[in-house]
Amino acid sequence: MSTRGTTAERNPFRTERLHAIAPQLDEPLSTVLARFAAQGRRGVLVGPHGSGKTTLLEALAAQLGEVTWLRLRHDRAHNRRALAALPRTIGGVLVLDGLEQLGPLAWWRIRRRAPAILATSHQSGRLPTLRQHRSSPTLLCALVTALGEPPPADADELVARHDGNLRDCLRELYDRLASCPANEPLRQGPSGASGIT
Amino acid sequence: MLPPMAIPPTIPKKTGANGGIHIGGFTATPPPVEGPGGWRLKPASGRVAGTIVLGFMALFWNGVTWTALITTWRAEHGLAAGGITIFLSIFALIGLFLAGAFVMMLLKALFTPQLALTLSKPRLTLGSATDLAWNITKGRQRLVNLKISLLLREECQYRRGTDTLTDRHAAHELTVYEHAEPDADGRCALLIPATLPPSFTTTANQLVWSIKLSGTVPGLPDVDDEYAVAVDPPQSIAASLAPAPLPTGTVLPEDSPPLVLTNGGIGTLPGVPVAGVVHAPGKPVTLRLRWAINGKGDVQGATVATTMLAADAAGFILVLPSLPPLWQGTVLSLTWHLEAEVDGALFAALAFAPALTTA
Repeated sequence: MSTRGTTAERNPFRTERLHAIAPQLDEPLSTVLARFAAQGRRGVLVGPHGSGKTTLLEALAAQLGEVTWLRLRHDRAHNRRALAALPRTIGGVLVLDGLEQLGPLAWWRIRRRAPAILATSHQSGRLPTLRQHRSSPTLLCALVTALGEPPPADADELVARHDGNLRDCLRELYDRLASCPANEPLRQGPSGASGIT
Repeated sequence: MLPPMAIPPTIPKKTGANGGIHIGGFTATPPPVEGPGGWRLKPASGRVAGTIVLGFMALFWNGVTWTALITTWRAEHGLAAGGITIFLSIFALIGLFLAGAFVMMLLKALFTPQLALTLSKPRLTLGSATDLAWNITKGRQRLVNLKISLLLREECQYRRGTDTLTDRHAAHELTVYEHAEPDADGRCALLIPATLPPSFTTTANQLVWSIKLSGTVPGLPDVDDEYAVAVDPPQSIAASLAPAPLPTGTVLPEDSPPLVLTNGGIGTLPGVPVAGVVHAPGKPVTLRLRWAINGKGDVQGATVATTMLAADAAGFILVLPSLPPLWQGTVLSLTWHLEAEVDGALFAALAFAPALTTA
């Protein structure tokens, strides 16, 4: 074995498990979908980095039937390729991850081609806001619990240090377990429960 | 397997939304160049090139910010500096920091000892030695505590939303030469045990080998260079998976698992044939041999061999290939799986790492 701590395959914060967590919502998925339909099948999930927009987008897209995916990144070359690969006629719903990456001209073209658009963005404005995402220590604890792990004792500090980016918080928790020597007891959380510290 | 080295925390490098500059992986290192006496290694980035780039940046930044600051300061009558002057002085301080970094890099480029490394072969092979020759081409008298080591690093990329994050983690370090007063030139053998994995690269995950040089130079920045090297498995083995008759007289208990290896799972070694049996009464079975990467980066995987087995108890034989290697690390794990499908649904599965287990 090449590591002192938890190996990648056994780390509960590995990517495979993070992607399998259901969106942590305060309303049923069907309510969000009903709002999307009521808004004329156009809407955007707005929130900061790592607040769960993409996770919710994937969960919603799975319920929408025919969809066309467009995933944009902070990478112009990738975005050019992704836009070029988009069919001329977009059937069903265009599911667009990273709306803020589109320039005005590209957005104008996409909007004309797609009859229905469900997107994520860091800012509101181009489409009616379907849901505003906010991260919090409570949400982080819920995600960690969903992974079957005790909530971190320093969730407040963790979320503050990562500017609310829960994805980065979970990656830090991955590192903590990876560097924790095997069989070493984890520090106790304030509630007395064993916490990832 | 060698004992683990002291593992530093992983250093995430971010691109995109969260800011920061993407620092290229060690795979960006130029390949060795053939020359007299062997294959010469080149560092990922030249010290002189980096110094020149930083010098221009510092010059440009300081030129703009200090000109603006002095002009504003004069216009606002000396010490009665206003908000704009204070605001500009923040940028001027960044300029001073850049100038300081430039001076440090310049000192390193001019006075830090330099080593030329030459390999006897362009690629290393697990389990067999490769000669490494070094020659201190500049500043030998100043260099103390030279250490040459082979470093295995795990690298993984994670893409989600608009973020791309890269993590690197040093998994093993094998010291091949260490001396407080190094000779001006010398030779040593690079030998990587066959129990360690070869180099392996996918679009998001990598196992990267490199030769690491470190040394101390009193009063100057230390020598700390890395040169990526390709490491191959001892032999290239292709995957195979095929139906096979059961050995005569084989009797399996009724409560036998649906997918079982009959020779105890020694097939975790590439190239060693492994026999097995699938129990799917009355149904034909599709068997798939696939690899998967899991961990902190993107999940990846592929099917490398597929075969159809007839209904009822059916035997098979498989051989694991040399690549990708089985690996259990801190930020990534590479595993091999055998999956049995009946009527298009997963019926049973075996995982070949870290030890043979039934899923």
